[in-house]
Amino acid sequence: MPTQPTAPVKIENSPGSKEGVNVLKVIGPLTIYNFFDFQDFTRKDKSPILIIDLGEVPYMDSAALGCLLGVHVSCEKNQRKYAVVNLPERLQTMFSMAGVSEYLTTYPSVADAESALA
Amino acid sequence: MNKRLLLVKDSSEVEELAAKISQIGGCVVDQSDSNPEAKALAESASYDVVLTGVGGTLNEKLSFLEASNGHRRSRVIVLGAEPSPGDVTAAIRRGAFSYFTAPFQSTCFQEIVTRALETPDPVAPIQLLSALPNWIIMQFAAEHVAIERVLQFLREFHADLPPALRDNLMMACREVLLNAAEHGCGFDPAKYIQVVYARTKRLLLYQVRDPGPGFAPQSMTHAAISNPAGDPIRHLEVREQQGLRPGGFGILVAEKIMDEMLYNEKGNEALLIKYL
Repeated sequence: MPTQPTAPVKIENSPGSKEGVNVLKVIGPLTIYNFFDFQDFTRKDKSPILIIDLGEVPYMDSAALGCLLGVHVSCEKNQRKYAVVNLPERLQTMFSMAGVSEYLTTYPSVADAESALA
Repeated sequence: MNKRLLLVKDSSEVEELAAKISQIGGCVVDQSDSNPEAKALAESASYDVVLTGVGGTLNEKLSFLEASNGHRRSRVIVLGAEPSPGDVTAAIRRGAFSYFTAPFQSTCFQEIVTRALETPDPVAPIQLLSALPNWIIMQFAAEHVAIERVLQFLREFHADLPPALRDNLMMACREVLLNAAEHGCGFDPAKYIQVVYARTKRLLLYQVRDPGPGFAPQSMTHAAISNPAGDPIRHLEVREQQGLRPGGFGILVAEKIMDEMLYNEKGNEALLIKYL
């Protein structure tokens, strides 16, 4: 793993507007240099419904995408719900190229995800 | 201790950048109205990073690279008004940290400024082995700062391409460069990666070479390229069993973006081709 300084990624954790919902808002590029912070947050989160807002993630790399799919796998195993929302076009393109668009649960907004899942 | 950044605010585009920079924590920003005025400031104080003005000559901008009054060298990020591959190669050769042409993509910009502030002095050089605008060869240490710098310089050589295509090309290059740095070099800054970028009327070509042992694409069960049809995440299980970090999508994504992608026999050199 790289040991040099890392590009900042900010993660804001807040309760959703419905019971049992936790919203993680990620701000900044999500990459091999910083995805562990994101992974820590998602692993510690035990809420029944986790919503990951990627609206302010301009790009991610393969490592971060793998991490996001780890959330998908973990939620499926543990029968928890999750959603990825506010996907910028560049991330949608990447998900499509990686062939995982159909796997990830996505919604246009936090409100849409809450309405559908909570 | 706070880092110090000097910004030459000589255009409306830079005004917008200034707002972005102000969001970077732990950084004191001094501003100036022109390159000459900023040069005088830089001679009287030590700045970690200098962002040149958009206006003025390249020599004026690169003169910030000269250490003065015993101060250590600043990381210089050159701003330009219009695409100029010649200016970009000159900036690389003289040791500029990065180069941006207006309109500035704020995300990349903020990322590079942050890295320039965080990178300890001296910054490992990017060696420019060929500086023809249609045949660029860069050699650099296998560390993430160098990769991000190289990607931004490459982005500048693609300034005339549609933004979406340019973003995709850089996405592919990022994945291949990271593979070279991680798997070919173990992120060892003593090891070097070489990237060739060549452009003809009909194609863009990138060649990435690392000093590692190489790999056999057909034996990559831990990569998405080996997944059976209809199961795009099968390799994640393999990676978990092998104790590998999440990922494995890089080659697949790069292959989807490029029209052709091939490897040498050893597997430590990749050729990426995009037809125009």
